[in-house]
Amino acid sequence: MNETHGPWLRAAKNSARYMMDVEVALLALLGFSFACYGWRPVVLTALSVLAAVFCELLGNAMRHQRPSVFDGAALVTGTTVGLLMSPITAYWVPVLASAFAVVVVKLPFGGTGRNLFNPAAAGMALATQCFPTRVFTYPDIAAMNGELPLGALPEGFVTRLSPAAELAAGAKANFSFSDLLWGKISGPIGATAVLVLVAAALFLFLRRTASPAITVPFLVVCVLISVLFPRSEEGGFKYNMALEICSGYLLFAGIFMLNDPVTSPRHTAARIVYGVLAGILTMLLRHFGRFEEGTCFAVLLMNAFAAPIDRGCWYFSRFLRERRAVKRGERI
Amino acid sequence: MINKEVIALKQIRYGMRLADHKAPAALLPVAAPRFAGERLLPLSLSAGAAKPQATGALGRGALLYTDENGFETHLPTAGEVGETTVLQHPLYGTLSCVSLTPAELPEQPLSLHLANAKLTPQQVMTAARRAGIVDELSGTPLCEVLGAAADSRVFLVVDATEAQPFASSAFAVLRDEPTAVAEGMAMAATAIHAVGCHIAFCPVNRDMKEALAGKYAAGVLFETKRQYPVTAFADGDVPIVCIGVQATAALYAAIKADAVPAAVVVTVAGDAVETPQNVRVPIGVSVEAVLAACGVKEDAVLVAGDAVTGVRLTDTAVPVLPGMTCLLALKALPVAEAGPCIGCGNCAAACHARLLPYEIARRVENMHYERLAQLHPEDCDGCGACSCVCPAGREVMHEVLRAQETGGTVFLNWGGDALE
Repeated sequence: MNETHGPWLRAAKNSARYMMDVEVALLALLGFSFACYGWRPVVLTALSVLAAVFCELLGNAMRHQRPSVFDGAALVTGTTVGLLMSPITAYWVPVLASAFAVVVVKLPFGGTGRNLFNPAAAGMALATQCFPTRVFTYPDIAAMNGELPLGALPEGFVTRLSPAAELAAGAKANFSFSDLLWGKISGPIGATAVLVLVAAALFLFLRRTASPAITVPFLVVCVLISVLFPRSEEGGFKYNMALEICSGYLLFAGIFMLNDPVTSPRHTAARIVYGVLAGILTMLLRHFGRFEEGTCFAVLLMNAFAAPIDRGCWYFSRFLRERRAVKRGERI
Repeated sequence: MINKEVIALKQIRYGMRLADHKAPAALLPVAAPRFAGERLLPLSLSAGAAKPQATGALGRGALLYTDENGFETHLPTAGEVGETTVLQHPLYGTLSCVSLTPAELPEQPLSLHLANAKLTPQQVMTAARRAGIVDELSGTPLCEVLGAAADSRVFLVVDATEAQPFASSAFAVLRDEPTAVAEGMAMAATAIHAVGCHIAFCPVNRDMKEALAGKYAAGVLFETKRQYPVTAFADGDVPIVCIGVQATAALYAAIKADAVPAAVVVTVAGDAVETPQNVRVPIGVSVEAVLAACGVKEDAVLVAGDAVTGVRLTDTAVPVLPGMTCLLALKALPVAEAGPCIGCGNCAAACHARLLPYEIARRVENMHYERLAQLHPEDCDGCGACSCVCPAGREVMHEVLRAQETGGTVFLNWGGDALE
């Protein structure tokens, strides 16, 4: 720190507090999953977090750096990967995904603040690409009696297609509106509780940890595309729209992954453009992609364009301001 | 009223909101403790080495020094003028100062004889120059600030906004000397043929707004929104000229009472001060004495200026001069360990010049100097808002200012001579 010049007044909210806000929101989602499935999702997420933190520490040790886990970024990455897994996936899947996220996608670029791609999205992309059946096999929450076992699943364990898979197949989805709202649908650990997700989003927006400038345009575009180009004609456009938004981890990605400050644009206009493009890309991947849920690929692709969009929007807004100033004969 | 044309003052929309630490100093009456002991008076704020024109026992108002531009420095307090010393002042650099031991001696007024005259611009300029009034906003003589604007069409703003969190000295003067400020503004406006004038004031809280109620005629005060920085501009591309409140009041005193500026109102605040207050400090009293009078412990971290753009004071023997309107005493250095940029975008949101401070800082860090010019770092005025809001505690503003310096010419900086 510079000791001769100001500012002598510093932001009360430091980087770690930003990460803690996100972590609190993520833990609320995990709490919901705990209420539905018992300890198994908690253990899965904890293992994922441990893997991320361990890899970060290992990377620090190899590069002779001070441990960088206290900024909370590894914690958030591990939790995010854990929450996007199926509650019945094998324990090594989130561990592998988290380790990949930290070791391959984050540390080689220089660690927190310098990674080009969202580590959690990259971890999920790896898991989706390599083990799609393990990622997309979900328990039937309606047929569950008691908690999920911590060990091997019993013979004849009932699994069910998620709404995302049913939409992808174009079949009639048989989840009611209230099922969607209350999270009684098959899906990832932390991405089915729509009400909790909305509350988490409001929490982050009110704390100014995340900005609605990405999330809102993203969701609006997703809703528009799902209304204009429905994947299933059954149940009317309202139902189809609700199903698109609540299935998979579209809402989760819109709130947490796209809003990752490091890999998203910082200029407000750029954030809106980014959200819109991410929405289009997500829906394209849903319509034409191989997997029932490809939002993580959309996030990764958008990450690559975040910096150009950011600068492009800034140059454009500056150009407009200059032109306006010239027209009015004012200074900028 | 003096506003000849209907030109509105406007405010730049962008900026950030800082915490309000003005209470209780803003609402307390200005304290005027007695300062005994030797004082240090600068002969000129610009010239380096200089010799006083008179020494020995002199009354208040006696001429001490005249610089090459005819700017006169007078004795603000009667006393014994002694030896000349050269010191390093954190705000003004190298200064030649004479020592002054206060004593009771008859006053030597300026003899401007303007109290009842109908003022011409030339007379006002002469008064500002002869009284040696220093504008506290820029730290330069008031006559230079006004002189630079005299030949063009300008709008005069007496800037009492004090957008930074602690300072309230301008507000105190605004509250206690309404006639001097309002009349002084009219005089300054006459001097530069201003198309209009306003006192810009930022009512941080309701109490401050109420304290000024009824003291100024309607349309004289321009209330700004509470934000940092407050940057005003006038409609129709009329440039504005900002002068300080204390300089304005001093101009009035010089013209009406032939008085030379004698004291500076300084806000002494910060968490190491028991009762933050505004203090009237005679020019030349050492910072040390002011802090002692306010009960500040010796181990406090001292900052001259306010919390955003202030400069750290390490030598407390330096004198209080016009321009030093706020002194902060902090219990500890606000140590922020700089972490990596997490990309929150707060700096871009806080930048009133609409720059991308994080991107400029990144390019400086990565030595992409040739691509700096595209981001227009030259628009930065060093307000420090970006560094203030950075959650990672980075010195964003300093990187932007560095970018301003390098500005794509890094190769010349490296080895310009060798390349030729």
